[in-house]
Amino acid sequence: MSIFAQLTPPVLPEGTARLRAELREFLAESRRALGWTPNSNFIGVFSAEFSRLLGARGYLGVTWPKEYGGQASSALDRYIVTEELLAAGAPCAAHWVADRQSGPLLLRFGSEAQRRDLLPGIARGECYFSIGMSEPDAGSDLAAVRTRATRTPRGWRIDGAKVWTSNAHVNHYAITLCRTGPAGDSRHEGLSQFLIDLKTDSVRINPILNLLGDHEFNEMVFDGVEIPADRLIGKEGDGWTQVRSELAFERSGPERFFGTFHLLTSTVEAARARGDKAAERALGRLIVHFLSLRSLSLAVAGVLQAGGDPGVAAALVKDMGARFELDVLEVARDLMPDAATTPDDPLGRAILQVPSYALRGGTPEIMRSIIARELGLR
Amino acid sequence: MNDANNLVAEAAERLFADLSTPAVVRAAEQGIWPDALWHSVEEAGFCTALEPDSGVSLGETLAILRAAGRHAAPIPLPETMLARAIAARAGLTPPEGPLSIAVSDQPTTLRLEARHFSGTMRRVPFARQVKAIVALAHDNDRSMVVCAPAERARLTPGRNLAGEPRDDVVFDRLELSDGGMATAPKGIHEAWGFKTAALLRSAQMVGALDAALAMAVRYANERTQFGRPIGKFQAIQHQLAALGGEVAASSAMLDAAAEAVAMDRPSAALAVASAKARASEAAGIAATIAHRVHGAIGFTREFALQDLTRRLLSWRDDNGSERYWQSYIGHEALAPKAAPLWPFLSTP
Repeated sequence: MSIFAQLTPPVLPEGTARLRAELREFLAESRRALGWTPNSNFIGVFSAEFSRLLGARGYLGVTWPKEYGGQASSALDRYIVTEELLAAGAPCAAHWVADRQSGPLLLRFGSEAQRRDLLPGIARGECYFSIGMSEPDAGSDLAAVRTRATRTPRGWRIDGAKVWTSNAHVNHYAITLCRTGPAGDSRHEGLSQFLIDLKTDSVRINPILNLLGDHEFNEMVFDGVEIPADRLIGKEGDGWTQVRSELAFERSGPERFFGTFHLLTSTVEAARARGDKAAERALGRLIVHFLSLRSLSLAVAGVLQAGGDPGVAAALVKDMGARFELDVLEVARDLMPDAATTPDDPLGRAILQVPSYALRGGTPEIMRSIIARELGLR
Repeated sequence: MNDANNLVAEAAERLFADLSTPAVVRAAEQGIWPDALWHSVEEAGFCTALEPDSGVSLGETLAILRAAGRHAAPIPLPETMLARAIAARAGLTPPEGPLSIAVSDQPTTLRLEARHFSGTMRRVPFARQVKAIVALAHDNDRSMVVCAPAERARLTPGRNLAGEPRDDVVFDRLELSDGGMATAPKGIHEAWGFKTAALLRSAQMVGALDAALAMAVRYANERTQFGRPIGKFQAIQHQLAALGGEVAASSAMLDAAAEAVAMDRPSAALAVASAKARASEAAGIAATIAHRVHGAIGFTREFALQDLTRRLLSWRDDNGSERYWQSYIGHEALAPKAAPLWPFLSTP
């Protein structure tokens, strides 16, 4: 029996229904208080107010130890929190990366001082992170990074540039992958990760507008940026292992198939309102795919809870999730043709936006290569 | 799958690997009953797995069926399991040996009149090879379970794409003994039988999907073209990765359905429908990819891939195709009184 037939969703714990009910009440309350509107824009819009409310309620750093501001709860509880936020289309962009991958990375590889300095702020929903991986010449081929960190008497000097850095203009930190030594035959040696303070370090942040004209991406330019020695994360030269671990977190969550959930909801509502029998099969198929992906995604949470490596399971969810999101758009186009033609409608906007979701955290082609390796090919 | 399921799965895997060999599968298609295989399956207690108090969990039962599907076992195992489960719940004791069932999502057209059983059942699996057929029938307003001896039926042989028997069966005023009929217990009705049959068939399908994946990967690593194994080509790798996704999604959905049914959760019907729809959709995709990777050799009778793919291409239409279950789910989701989408989907 292959691993592919053994990714079993775990049984959800007893308290799940209560946790869901609490979250739904909180989401309704915060919506009244902050006036946010549901949005499937990947992880929603940036709202520091919302992130702080979440933190205050203990919905961030769910699995982290209490001494770092966490809740010491299970990965399955975190899964429930995550999917409730996504289903509601809540404005999660501020805290999402910090809570999903930067915090867990620091917890696993960071120094005690880094953990104490940074994790409680993330868990309070006050401290936001960007991902400093991609470069102009290093996209899918991450080992090709050229941004260099050089030792100085006081720490490190960084030269180079990162691109596609989401929200670097509003976030506090970027965990940045740099070359610190020779690449070796594997090309994976000599890489290290550094904590860059986006507010005080002399990194230049230039906006890169996306095809919708929105400012989410940035270029980060490091022109001899001096940082102290204690900004190294983990061990010098271990960057490849660390970044792979970070990417596993980045790829592991249900946001990989929830990107068009709000559209699916409105499409179902529209079809229901007009009693559209002809829509039943297409929407039923989307529901089947959604539930199958959710079962597989829960299996990922189960692997995380058991302390295992979710790499392949996460790659499967991400590859199929990206296709599912696009399938939703096609059905929505069929059922709401007028909405599809203007960027002022959520559907029109999604048609422009959603193709980018598949690229974030690794393209489907990279996911398929990871899966193929697990199959024993390559 | 939990550890207990794994133990049962391993035992079942060994049994079917030993006894449901390609030679046995081919012979069965020529009408030769796989006696050794059947006896071992009976002795292992697989046939009674779905009976109440069998001591075998639903997860274990589905693990057995996955193993049967993985080895294209040419026997009416899910049919016997379900027939014995229905008969046992109704207090009937069917004869030893293989059984079949007639299940439909429609109200039964089978009739009992003063102990005489009449009606037509279409495409009953393995009917010509079983001892008895279990079905639901109406006796005036009463819903009954009947267990009718197959030898007393008029059979019109038929087969599915895999060459498995699918026979039309007619009973014409066959007098049944007390042991051949009983009032249908609460909860045993057409929809229950049809969904349970769909769940069991999904398990066989997931097993066959997994085996087709393994076979295609093995072949891609062995077959050399352009001076290297074709599995070194990214085009092939990505096709097989897509096939891996179909297997993983179908398997995870089946596991979720098994848990929902075992725990009698409100979501059980939706989960079972999704499991059959997902596996049925995967079947066509998987057969296409597995055959593409194998090239012409996979298209031969001699090569074992076709034992799996012809079953997948048949089973996807049994007990509701993907079209059937997708429409069923869409209908439920769009019902005027249905919950909003997220509560509809997230109800445990």
